[in-house]
Amino acid sequence: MATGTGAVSGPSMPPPPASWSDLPPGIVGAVLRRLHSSPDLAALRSMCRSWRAAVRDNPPLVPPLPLLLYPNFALASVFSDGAKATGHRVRLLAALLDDAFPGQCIGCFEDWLVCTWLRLSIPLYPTVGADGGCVLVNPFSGEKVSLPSPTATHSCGAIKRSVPISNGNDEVVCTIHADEYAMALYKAVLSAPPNTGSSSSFELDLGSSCIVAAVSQRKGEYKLAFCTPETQSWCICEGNCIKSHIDIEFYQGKLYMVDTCNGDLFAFELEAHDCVFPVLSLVECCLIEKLPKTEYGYLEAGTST
Amino acid sequence: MAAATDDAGDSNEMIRVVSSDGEHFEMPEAAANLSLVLRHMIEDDCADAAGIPLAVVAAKPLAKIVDYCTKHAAKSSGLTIEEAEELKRFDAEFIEVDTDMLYDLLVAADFMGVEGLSKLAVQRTADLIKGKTPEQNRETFGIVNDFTPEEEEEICKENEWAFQITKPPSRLC
Repeated sequence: MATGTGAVSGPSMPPPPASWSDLPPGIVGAVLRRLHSSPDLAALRSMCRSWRAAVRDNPPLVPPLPLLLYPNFALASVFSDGAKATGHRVRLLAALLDDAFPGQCIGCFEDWLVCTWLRLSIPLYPTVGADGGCVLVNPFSGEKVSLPSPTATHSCGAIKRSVPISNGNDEVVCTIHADEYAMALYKAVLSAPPNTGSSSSFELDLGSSCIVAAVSQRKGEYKLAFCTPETQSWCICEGNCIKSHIDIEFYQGKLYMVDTCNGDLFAFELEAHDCVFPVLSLVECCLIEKLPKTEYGYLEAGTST
Repeated sequence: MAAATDDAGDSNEMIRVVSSDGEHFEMPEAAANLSLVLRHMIEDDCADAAGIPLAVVAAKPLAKIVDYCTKHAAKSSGLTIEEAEELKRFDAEFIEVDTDMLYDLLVAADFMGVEGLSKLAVQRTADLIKGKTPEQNRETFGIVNDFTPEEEEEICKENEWAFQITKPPSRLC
């Protein structure tokens, strides 16, 4: 493509007419201001050195928001082209993940997306409908951080801990390295973005480490699960308070879980088991006024605290 | 001032301009006034019978510019909707030129300070660029890719997200 500067088309050609690469910088800038779509702006910057230099002082290109995430994890940006408003889609990255179709985004935190994809093993039974993988992806930097698989078997011996609900009669049982689990995660929340804790050690710092909490529904069973990018398995929580559709959110260091059918709200506190695994240390039923029932059930938990 | 055709006695005066390659052109003063450079020259009494020399504007683009200014000066104020539409059609046809002429018009209109024509030519250039890859654009404008491999790589990286156009799904840098 680049032929170098010495390329001339013939020995006795008349002097060529003024070249577009000599267009005065002010005019190149004026043309730039008439372009509105990112690929066009990028194309203008990529034409030749003099054009690139002419628009150097213009603000750098950033992916225009909002972005659309496709089931194959390709990101696209939708923008209108000037007054014509002929929105067209541009793929940002070929695909965030390879071989991750069909997948979905089940949560986000700052620049990070939590993505899962269906397990497609043969035979499908007994993991039909379960997720085959889970990963944190930053579409802006292209970074990926693997999370333990939502469907796994472990033979290193399960560690069980039951945590009583401090102001109730029930309990929540959490299991690390459960022998076998197959989850279909539908929502995930993060306590912090990954890589923000002490990077040299894998030790879990509850104040700054990235803890991923997720909820799963598969074959009518609900589960609450925790992991960090450093753990090899999910810590699975089960109990009578996790029997119907639940929603979760981190808020001020605690994880809150609301049962969207009856409006019960629970607050979970976490601690580090073996310095690495996030597990429940305290479960509390928050006594709140019952939500008014609507024809669609109760309101879902949100960040509007 | 340019539009005051009735009360200004000398507004029908013809202004002569000379292209860089020595061709003479005439246009009404109202038309010349659309060029900032010519207007200043007229105000400074530099417009004489010999004509105003335009050292960097060749005859071909100058003929077009004289056309443009004459048309727009004749219809500069109190336009009816029909007249405005007609002027728009004139502009659209006027700027349907090859890239060599477009380049000359861009530079000449910029030099002579003909604002409307500058805008028209800039818009036409932008329209030619829209929806095309850098390679296609280089072909359109006869621009040689003079980036070093290192610069090319940097640009590729910068544009990675922008050039993955949904269809056709090909890498474009």
